[in-house]
Amino acid sequence: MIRYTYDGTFDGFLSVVFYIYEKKLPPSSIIPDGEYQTDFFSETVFVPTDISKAMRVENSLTSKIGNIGFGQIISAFSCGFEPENKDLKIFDFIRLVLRVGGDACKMYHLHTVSDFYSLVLKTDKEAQHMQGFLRFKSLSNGILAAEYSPDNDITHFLTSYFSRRNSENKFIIRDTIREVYGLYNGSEWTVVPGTPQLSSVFEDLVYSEKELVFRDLWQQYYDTVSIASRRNERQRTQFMPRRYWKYLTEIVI
Amino acid sequence: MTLKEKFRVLTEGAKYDVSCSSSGSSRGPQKGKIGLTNVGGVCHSFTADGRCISLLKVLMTNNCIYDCKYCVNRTSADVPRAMLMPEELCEIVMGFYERNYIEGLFLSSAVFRDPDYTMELLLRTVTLLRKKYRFGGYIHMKAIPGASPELIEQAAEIVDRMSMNIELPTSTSLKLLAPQKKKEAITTPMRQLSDLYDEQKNAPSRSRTLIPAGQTTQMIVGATPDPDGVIIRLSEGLYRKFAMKRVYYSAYVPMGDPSLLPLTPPNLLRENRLYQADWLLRFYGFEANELVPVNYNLPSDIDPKSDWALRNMDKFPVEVNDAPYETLLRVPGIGVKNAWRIREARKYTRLDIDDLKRMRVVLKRAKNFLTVNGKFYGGSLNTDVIHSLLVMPEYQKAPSEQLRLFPEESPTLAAAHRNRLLSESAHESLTGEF
Repeated sequence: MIRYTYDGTFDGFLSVVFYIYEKKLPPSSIIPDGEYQTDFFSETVFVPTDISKAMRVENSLTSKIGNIGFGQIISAFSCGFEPENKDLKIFDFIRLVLRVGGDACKMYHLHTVSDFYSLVLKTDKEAQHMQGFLRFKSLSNGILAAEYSPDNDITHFLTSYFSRRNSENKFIIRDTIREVYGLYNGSEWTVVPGTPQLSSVFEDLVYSEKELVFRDLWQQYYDTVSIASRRNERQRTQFMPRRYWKYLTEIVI
Repeated sequence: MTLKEKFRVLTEGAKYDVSCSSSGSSRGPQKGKIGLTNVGGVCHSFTADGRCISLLKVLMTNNCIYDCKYCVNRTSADVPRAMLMPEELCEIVMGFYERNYIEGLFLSSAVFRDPDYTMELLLRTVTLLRKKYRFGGYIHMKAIPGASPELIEQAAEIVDRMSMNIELPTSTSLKLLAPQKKKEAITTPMRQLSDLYDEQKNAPSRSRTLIPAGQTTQMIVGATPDPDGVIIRLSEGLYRKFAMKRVYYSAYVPMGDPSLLPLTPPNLLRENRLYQADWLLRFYGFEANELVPVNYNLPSDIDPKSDWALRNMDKFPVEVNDAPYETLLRVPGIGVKNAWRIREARKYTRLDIDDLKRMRVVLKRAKNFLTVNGKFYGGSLNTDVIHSLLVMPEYQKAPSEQLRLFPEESPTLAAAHRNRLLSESAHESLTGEF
């Protein structure tokens, strides 16, 4: 059994999958390089990222489980939970797909499948939440800026989504946990690692003139539209967990 | 009045409308437009009452010529009155949308001057929003009862969803509490919208432009003594005849004329039970007749599906590996997603209890109605025992006063109304109309 490491990227992970199939040496674990302490009992192999090999794995998977199924593999990979076991669980699922084909997605009774879907679910649920909960502030230079602290690595998903939702405005989204930034310049989007220049955008925010007007109206709306005799705090926090409140414009703590 | 103050007054007047959903329409980004729609809808926030904010829900004006007794905007109510200019509203929508506060607009209005005048005002606003402000997000517009069919059709071409509120479940109740509103003024445009919606069903998808998210309606529950049996039959009729996307139920919140209406706090449990029954009609293959007799309310201590199952114990337990999908849907505790997963997974193996647990089937209720690979995991097959097991602890202290809704001060009126209601509603509910 071999402990595989890679550069932490999705293509790197797919390169590991390719390598394992090529060498026929099953993994004891798969983890990003340098993340965890070396374990002295198993051999460690670092697999360099190879885009063309990653593409071959991607094509093979897409032909079996379609774009939706492959999207779920990306979701599972973006999951922020179980960092030590996550990659191995996805690998197990991929192995099942390569063995039985598209039926794998429906074998809900298997450990492999239910473990995989619980990763997918965590990411997709938060991504869906954030489609609604992310808040932009308009800056004096005309750019919209949003900050958030997600449990999962979903900035690529959100950047792509908001570039379609509001295609005329430039924006920047900052994931404060991973220090990655989603950027949109009015025609194309990208996700990049943080730089001092990017993080400085959020240090001294200069808002547009209208920003405070809209914020004020929105806060009033939020308070007014609630019906006092139906107050239900439990339901509110159930649907909108408190860990997200920090960045919500409407909630003044 | 400042813009902020006007906006507060008109939010206050709109908030008792329950619908806030932005679902049912899926328009990708369009060139030259700002915004798109998501088929599943997006919730942007949740208020202290636990309800979702998806759309900016606001009135054009709360100046009303009608005096509906249950309504916060009735002529005789002592509230400040205001009106927004179409441009003012469009600016707020665009400002909110680009900050990702909202998914779109839910525009409604009190009836100002006359129905056509009001409808034209709403139409002018949404046209401005679509054309000048190039808004491509979600618009839900309230149709004004009594407005001309031409205006209704024009609006249907612009917005994603329209709604007309039935308000009260029977025409008797409507006569009593909203004497100026005629039921025809509500049902005629409903019929018109459902016809328009039907007509384009066969058209190629690109030319299907009229209200892509269909129509919805709302009923106030608990302002009048109309029982759940009548309400659920009315909903069933609306779903079947008018291709209604949703019927919303709103537990009456005391804000109307206190001489005619109850002062009790909103009965949220009853509202919840009605939604559960509504879901059973739409997604689980149940008919109203199976759920509750005409002149009765749904039970408060257990959910309507468990109630049905306990009345039909001769049909249970069913074997999870063999029961048809339609039967699985009728097992208490098994939802649409679970039933679907079971149907798929059992093609590959004979499911056992651990398989079900891995599939996240919640067995607390379901185990009393199932055998799993021949084995029964429930506590008992005795109806009374199961009933006691199914009562949720938080519902054990449910208010039992559901039927005592009229305040003691107006016994004659209430009694007279109730007598009329029982005879008329029994007939009306059979046809599913009011």
